[in-house]
Amino acid sequence: MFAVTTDKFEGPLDLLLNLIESEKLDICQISLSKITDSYINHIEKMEGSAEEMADFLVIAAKLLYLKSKELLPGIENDEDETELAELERNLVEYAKYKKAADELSEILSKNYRSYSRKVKLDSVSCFEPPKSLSKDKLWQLFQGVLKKLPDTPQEEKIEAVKLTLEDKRNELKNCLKNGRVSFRHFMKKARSKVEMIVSFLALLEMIKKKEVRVEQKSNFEDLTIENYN
Amino acid sequence: MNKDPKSIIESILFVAEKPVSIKELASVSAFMLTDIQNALKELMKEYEKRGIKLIRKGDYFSFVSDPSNAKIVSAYLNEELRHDLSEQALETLAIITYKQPITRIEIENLRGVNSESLIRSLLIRGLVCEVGRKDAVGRPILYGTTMEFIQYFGLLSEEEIPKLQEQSLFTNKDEDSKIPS
Repeated sequence: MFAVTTDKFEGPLDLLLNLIESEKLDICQISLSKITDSYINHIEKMEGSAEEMADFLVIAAKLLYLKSKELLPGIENDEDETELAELERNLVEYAKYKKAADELSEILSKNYRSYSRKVKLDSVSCFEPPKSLSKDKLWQLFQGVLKKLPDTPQEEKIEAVKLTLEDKRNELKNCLKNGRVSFRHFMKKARSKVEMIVSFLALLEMIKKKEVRVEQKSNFEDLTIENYN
Repeated sequence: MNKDPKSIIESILFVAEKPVSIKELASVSAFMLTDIQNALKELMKEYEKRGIKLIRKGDYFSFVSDPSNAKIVSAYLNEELRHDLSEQALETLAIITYKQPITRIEIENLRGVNSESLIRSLLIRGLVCEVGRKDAVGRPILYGTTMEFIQYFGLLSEEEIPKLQEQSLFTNKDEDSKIPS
């Protein structure tokens, strides 16, 4: 066993590569199987959001498959085999760029850098107050603005949305009694953003339930909504 | 016009405030593209021994200070000379350097992890930029390195970037390590 516990690994490939390198192994399936335990140990100690951990877990699953394959020969299936081969390929590829990054870092360590001519400062646009503006004038203007402001900040009103998906569905159904309906026309009825969203959700719901069908001639054009049958 | 293209190029690049392309040089000077290219090549060589260098990124050229004078020049400019790219940022930059033009998804597939914020910070630093759109679903943005990248690394042109090495990390190879094709 070895201890690479202090390092923070950005992704599963980073971790895998580090484990393989610290064991001085080649990038191949045998090495992957050898480092499976350390890998699992590692991610057990990790703290991260579910999203961050998901990437690590996907790889863990692949490693465990590899390991179980050794114990139970004959459980191979094509799909998993392709995924393993892909993981191996990805790792080889990743190692290449990791190495390239080291070389770039070496160039940077020389602290060489070139500078180009600086753009003339006087050509940079900036704010210039008019000549007639004095300190007193500015003060007066500011007072004027203050006076215009309402005394207490207005309370933000949050209206309870009383609109339901069902309402919109019924509304659309009603509209469809007279035949087809233009999508834009239907959306125009909405008085607020929320209502528009509900309208759209209702439409999606109805498409899913095969109550309506929608047709669009080309990108960004209006949609025609009609009864499914 | 019997003027030497080198002289004209030198003058234009001297007054230019941003990199100038071969095309621009040709159209403003009425020289052929090939004349301009040859003249630029000679100029790059001539400036190798000077405190001013002629650097190249793609079709663009620019006069810059000698990279090895960075310490003194940065002190004069009151700029901090620091290379504080994180390991992850460098890794992302390496991928863009060797695989450009490349999309964010392609970078993320290679690194196996979300790289959006790293790309954004490289964009802000001006080391990479949008170079176009990929002809694929969603027309994703393609990224490439910039003239600033050449300057940041103190290079004369992209040719000085070390070649990408094909898997040379480990020497012992056995039968099982072969990648199925």
